[in-house]
Amino acid sequence: MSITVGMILGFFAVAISFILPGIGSAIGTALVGSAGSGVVTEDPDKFGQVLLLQVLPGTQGIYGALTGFLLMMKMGVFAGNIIRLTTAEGWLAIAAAMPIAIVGLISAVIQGRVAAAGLGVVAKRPEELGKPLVFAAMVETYAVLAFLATLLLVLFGIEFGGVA
Amino acid sequence: MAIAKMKKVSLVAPVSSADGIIQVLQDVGVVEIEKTEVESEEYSLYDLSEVAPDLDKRQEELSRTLMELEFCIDFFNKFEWIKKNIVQQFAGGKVYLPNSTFDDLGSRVEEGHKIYEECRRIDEGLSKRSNEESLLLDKYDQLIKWEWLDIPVPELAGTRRTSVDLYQIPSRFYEIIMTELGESCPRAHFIPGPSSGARYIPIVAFCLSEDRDKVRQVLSARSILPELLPEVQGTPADAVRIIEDRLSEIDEEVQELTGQAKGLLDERIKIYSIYDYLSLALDRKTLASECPATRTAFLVEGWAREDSLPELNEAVRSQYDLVHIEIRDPSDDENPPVSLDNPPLATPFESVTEVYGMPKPGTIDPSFSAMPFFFLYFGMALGDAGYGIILSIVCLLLLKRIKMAGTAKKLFTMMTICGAACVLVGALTGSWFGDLFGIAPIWFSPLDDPLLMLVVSFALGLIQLYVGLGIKLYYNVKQGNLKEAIFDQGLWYPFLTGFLLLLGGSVLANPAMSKVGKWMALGGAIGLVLTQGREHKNIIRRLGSGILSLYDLTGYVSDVLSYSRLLALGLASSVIAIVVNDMAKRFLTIRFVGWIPMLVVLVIGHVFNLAINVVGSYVHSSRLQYVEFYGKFFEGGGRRFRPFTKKTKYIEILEEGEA
Repeated sequence: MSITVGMILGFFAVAISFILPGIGSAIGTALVGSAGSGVVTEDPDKFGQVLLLQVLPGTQGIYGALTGFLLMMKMGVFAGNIIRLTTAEGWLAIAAAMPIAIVGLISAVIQGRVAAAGLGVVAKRPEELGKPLVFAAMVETYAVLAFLATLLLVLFGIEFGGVA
Repeated sequence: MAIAKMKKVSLVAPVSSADGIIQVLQDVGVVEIEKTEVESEEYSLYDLSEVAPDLDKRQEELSRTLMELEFCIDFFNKFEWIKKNIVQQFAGGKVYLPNSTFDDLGSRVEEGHKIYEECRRIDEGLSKRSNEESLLLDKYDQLIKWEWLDIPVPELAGTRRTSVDLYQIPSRFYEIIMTELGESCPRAHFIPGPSSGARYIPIVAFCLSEDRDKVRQVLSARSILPELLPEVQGTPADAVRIIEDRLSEIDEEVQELTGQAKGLLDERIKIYSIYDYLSLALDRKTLASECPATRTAFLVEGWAREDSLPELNEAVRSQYDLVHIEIRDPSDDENPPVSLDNPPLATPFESVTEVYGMPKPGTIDPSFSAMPFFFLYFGMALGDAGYGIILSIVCLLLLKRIKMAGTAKKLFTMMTICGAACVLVGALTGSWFGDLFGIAPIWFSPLDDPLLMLVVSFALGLIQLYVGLGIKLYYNVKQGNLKEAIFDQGLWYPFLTGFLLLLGGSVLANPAMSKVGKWMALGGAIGLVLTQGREHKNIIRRLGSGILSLYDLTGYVSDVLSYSRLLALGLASSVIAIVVNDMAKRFLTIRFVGWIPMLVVLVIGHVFNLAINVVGSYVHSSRLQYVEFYGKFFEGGGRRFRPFTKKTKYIEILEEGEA
């Protein structure tokens, strides 16, 4: 089986949807985790609350991974018979992955910062946990919107025919 | 949908019954005490604690005993940290104790003191041993290198004319250094110790006192300094033996002390109980010290919910006849605390508002109106019937197992209810653990028709926008601000509805609808332009800010668009579920044992998906209330009602009949 340029581009689309939001989420969760350790040192019982803040910037990575899986499905990776995409189809896959790849990367990092700042609330006024959660969720809105765009594009905008 | 009515309660009683009445207030737990400033020229005023001396006498004593008990608790934690699981971290894990047992604790305070002394003794013993141990270990480290040396340590001090020094020579340079030493101090004598492949070879340098400096110079040029041995009797080997013996002795003693400490751990609950018992007492004393009093009577004031007044009255009157209770409405310059009051079904949804912050006294509590929306949004965001069932069951179990109060209890009850929403939405959209069972949707699957789901999301957003404006309108009417109600909210309805009809007309190609919509929108817009600048006198500025107000439309549009997250979150959880199912089912190709990895993948995958998405669904459903809904009418700034009650740290006191 020969490899087409489209397949390479398609794989690239899968790769960026895993890589970029994944990096963002890794950085974001790391920010909260490393700052959160300080809170937990003082009071080990706050582990759960810190964890709740830490998972928030993790969702972008999941959105990205989900996009990657969907693209793989569309490309027939799971079926064991990869569609030989045309070059245009390859570019289409990349374009569809773009929203969550870029917004996911940046928003996860920034959301991590917001969530890490929220740790102060957990440390001093744990009963007010809801507020920093909402602050962090504000940032996530844009990741959700970007993911929505990608999701709709991938699910309904892409149907790969491949090279005959 | 309301804020509970608050009344100001003033209670006057003889000083002699102060202790008992404050106790009753704490038991009933319905009054938030407010410190009263009283000025009077007729009477000389005191602190209650001054005139009721038995109240104050024990305050210091109490604080001291509490410190002792805290010491015990810290001490116990050093030996056995009680791990709280994740749920307890949120809901608070406490030890349960029946009411009657708790009340009997007064007679057992002395036992607490005994346990404290025991803890103290063990703690001191342990720290003494650990200090000694580290000193001995230092000595041991110094001596062990010279164990081979069969000269008693005191004799290494040298004689009048000779000196003895100990050095550690790096093995790598041993030959070079020894040659150098041999050349510069030929009269000195060096005895090397066993090298045995170590990095340093110990040597003992014997020389005449006048040669000592030469030896030192050669070696210090290579940063080698003479070693000092600790002052011990006998040879280093003897000293090492003695230290080793003592160390193992210490080890045994520590073992024994630790054993005693572990034995004391059984008393932990007792310490916890006495601690809480006394901290409640301290709370009462603190309150008493803030009450104004004359020589014979004292006053305590606070806030109570109107519906709790009979209970309060009954509790106080049943025990004390000589007491005057005065109840009145809050005056205008007073700021009563806020407590929410909703029908039972809506009570759990108060947690949404409580997390956001309390509304200002006299305004609207949005909990009730947010309930149906939060319920649906949560269901749509999680969107899976299977997950809903699990969520409900888990939350129900937690509520059963752990006694919760306040916001935590409301939150978990709300989650139980929201599980039902997930079942509802999941059944409608045919999602039962994704596509695991292949159950067909009752209505439609968002995967087949995401556009319809998007329209549903927007429609819900629109409804909530209308409701939000409506609540503000209602509130303005109730406050008598008819102008605001009609101009600021009322006019938006034709304007927005007109726009919708216009949009709908063009989508459905229905010119009549478009036409109606056009005129409605136009009418609304003209009304807004004319009225929105009414605070300005200048006609041009008035029109200007009127036109500018139409710009708020973008705000409303973006509010509605924000509801698209419901589609995204719902799709995310169902698609992840489908991916999990897909991956798991692939294992079935392995013959005979394929179902084992399949089950593992299914369980792990779905638990993970559920956990992540429950957090997301809760947070985003909340956000839609806070920003898109509360923003329309909510006035914050209320102070949460915190009644004076039995506030315990370790013990959950069970009332009669609770098990």
